[in-house]
Amino acid sequence: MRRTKDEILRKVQAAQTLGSEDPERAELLLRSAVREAEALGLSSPTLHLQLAELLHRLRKTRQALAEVIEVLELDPFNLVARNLHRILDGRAR
Amino acid sequence: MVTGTKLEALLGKIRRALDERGSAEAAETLFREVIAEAHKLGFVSAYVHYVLAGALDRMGKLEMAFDELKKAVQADPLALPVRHAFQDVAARLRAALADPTRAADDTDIPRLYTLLVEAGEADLEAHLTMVRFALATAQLERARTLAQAVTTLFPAVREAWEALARVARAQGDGAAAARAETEAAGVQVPVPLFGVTGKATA
Repeated sequence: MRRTKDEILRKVQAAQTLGSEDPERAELLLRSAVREAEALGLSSPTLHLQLAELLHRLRKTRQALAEVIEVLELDPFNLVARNLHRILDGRAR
Repeated sequence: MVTGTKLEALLGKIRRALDERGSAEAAETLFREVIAEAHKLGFVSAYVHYVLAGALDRMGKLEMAFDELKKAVQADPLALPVRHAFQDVAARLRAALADPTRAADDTDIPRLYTLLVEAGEADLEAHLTMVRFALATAQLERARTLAQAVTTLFPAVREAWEALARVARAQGDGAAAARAETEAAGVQVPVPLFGVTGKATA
């Protein structure tokens, strides 16, 4: 089912709230938000960055790196993503 | 992923702008240069617009900050921090527009109002402030059109009908003014929640 932008935003907000107490559920919500955004033709570097930061906290380094690369494809000037990329790249090697 | 000397130079500028402690204007210039160069490379960076908005806000350039946040929201519509900053600045612009100490014919009113309307962030108070401005500057047709639109948007708000009545009276349209006053009187008493009046007792 196609979601609206506001519904996706609510999902992102819920993921942010859940981030520390239930990160696995937050990851599911964010992945679902990314899929729904793509279905709407929306590309959000911040959404990918949020997912990358969460995956980094969950120590899923390779998945986090894939997400942060996605951020930098969309917005190569995002310094937060650049810093995270440097950390993750160092760990993945 | 974009890489290369050009990108590194622009990232260096962003870092310098973020570290700029002495001159906020210098930081603004650096951010704007990055935005222009990024645009040439085919990128609209929500991040750079967002950090520039923060710098402008700290410099007290609220309207320019709002403009940058609009661009950031457009570039990344699902970025919560950007949306929160946008809503915060919009609320402060609304408060500035509806400031009770502002004169009804203050020339800043149309600019602030247009900014909010274009962003879809004008509320009832903003519309009423613009009606008062149009009335105070003798733009009666404009005031009438706007006041009528406000009563359509907010039919249950007394102040909307009162504004329309004032405008109609200023135009010499006593009949329309009386109709609007009747409507205003009709919405004067709010309907109690759940139809319960008075203090609840067990």
